[in-house]
Amino acid sequence: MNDKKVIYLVVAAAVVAALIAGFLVQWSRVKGNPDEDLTKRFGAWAAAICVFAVFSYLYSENAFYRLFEHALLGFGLGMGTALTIQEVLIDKWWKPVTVAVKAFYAGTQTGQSYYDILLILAALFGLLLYFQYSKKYLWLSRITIGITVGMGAGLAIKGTAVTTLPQITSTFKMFFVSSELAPSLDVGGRALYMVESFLLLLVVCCVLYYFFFSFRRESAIAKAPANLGRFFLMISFGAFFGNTFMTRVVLLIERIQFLLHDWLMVQ
Amino acid sequence: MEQASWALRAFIFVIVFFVLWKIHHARSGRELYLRKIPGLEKVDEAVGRSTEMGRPIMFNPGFIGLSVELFCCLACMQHVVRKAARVNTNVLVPVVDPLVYPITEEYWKDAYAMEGKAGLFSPADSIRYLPGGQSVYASSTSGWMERERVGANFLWGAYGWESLFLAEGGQRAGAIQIACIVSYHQVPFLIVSCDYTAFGEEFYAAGAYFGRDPVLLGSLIGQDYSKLLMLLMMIIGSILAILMATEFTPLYMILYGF
Repeated sequence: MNDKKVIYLVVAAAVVAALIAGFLVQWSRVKGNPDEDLTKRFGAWAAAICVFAVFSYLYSENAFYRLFEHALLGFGLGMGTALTIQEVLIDKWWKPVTVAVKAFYAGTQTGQSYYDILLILAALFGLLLYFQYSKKYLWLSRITIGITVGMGAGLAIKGTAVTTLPQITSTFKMFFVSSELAPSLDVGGRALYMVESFLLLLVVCCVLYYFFFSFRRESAIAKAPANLGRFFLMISFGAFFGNTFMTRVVLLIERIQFLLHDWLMVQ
Repeated sequence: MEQASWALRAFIFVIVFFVLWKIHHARSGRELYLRKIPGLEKVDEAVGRSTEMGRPIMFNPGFIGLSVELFCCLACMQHVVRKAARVNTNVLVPVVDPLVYPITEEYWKDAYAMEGKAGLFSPADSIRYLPGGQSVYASSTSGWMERERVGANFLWGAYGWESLFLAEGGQRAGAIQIACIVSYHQVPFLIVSCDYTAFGEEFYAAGAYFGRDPVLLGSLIGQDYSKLLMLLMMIIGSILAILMATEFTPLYMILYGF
């Protein structure tokens, strides 16, 4: 074993020993507190170690980070499988189907039973996906994929038609507003409204023009709206950037507060 | 149940007509023009650079499920994998959805087979299923990127907060990065951290841009005509809004009498 590995092992052992000692010292101090118990303390220490493991990536990709990365992947897969079995397969499929089958057998079916018995068909379509692993019957899996993608596309078109297309009529703004049309606004208010309306239409048209792919833009006049559209897009991206950055700083603050208050119990 | 109005139905009918008309043009062999999209022009450069450095390429489809976006993404992935196959370079693909995994594997294997390089790399080693949410996807993919020291990183698809995490991982691995995403809120982060970025409609155009399939090309150009119609409607609508504003405006008087 070379010197570098020995040093890593010694440092790792020292860190683990320090963590155990720190946990025991803290537990000995808060043992008598009715609001604290061993599970809560252990949970806080485990969470803090996970935070440091992930933050160690800021320095470099390392074995400590890798250990927790793989553990998280394993936990995620395990939890996902357990949740899928319990909350989807058992609660949403097995129970309704068995109740419906029993109702039909006993002759006590209701309207809901007719819906629930169709879930057997849903399971058959789901099972067809496993034919992805067969070269001879691969085409069967494409039936389910086709239904899923078609359904998704149909819902997306409906969503777009209902939410996005009405935005076209929202851009029908007046560039000229007289005192008869807006009696509550003074001269300054009407001027601002006119500028805003013009700007809205200009921005929407330029950005739409930027995303034309099949019209040639060889002259300066043809390029100008596209360049303007790109300029407006960059302004909006700057706003998104600032807004999202603020949200992420808030998340960091929350984690630091957890480390200070919940882990180290600093008042 | 909510129903579309007659105007909305007519509008959708017009859009569908434009798309079908242009697909017919594309299928009849007519030369159809597509302007250059800067970010997408650099795919060859990225693949070449990665091959020169002797490193694999990573293609991230992001958080895409079984949807229309997935097939746009897979068309682009197949284009990149075919380019990589010609120069014997491996393409690594992390996948988050169990339904997407076998489809991605099929596209990946087909791409290598089309270039006569079937079996050159193992899909089990190159395509990883990473379930458990965005945190798992982000941490696992970044770690994988750095360990494999990828030479080119393609961020293609739908992303949440993990976009910047992945882009930083690619930066630390020393990869050239090209992003093409549908999520507008993540575009600013990828613009600052990636070498080339395409966004919005350019994501959907990429599939037609690379493959030049008549259906995809015709759909894209048909959509351009629909956008032109929307643009004209907005301009004309605004003008009419002024002319029809009150009973004192001239057009209103002409149409409805004094």
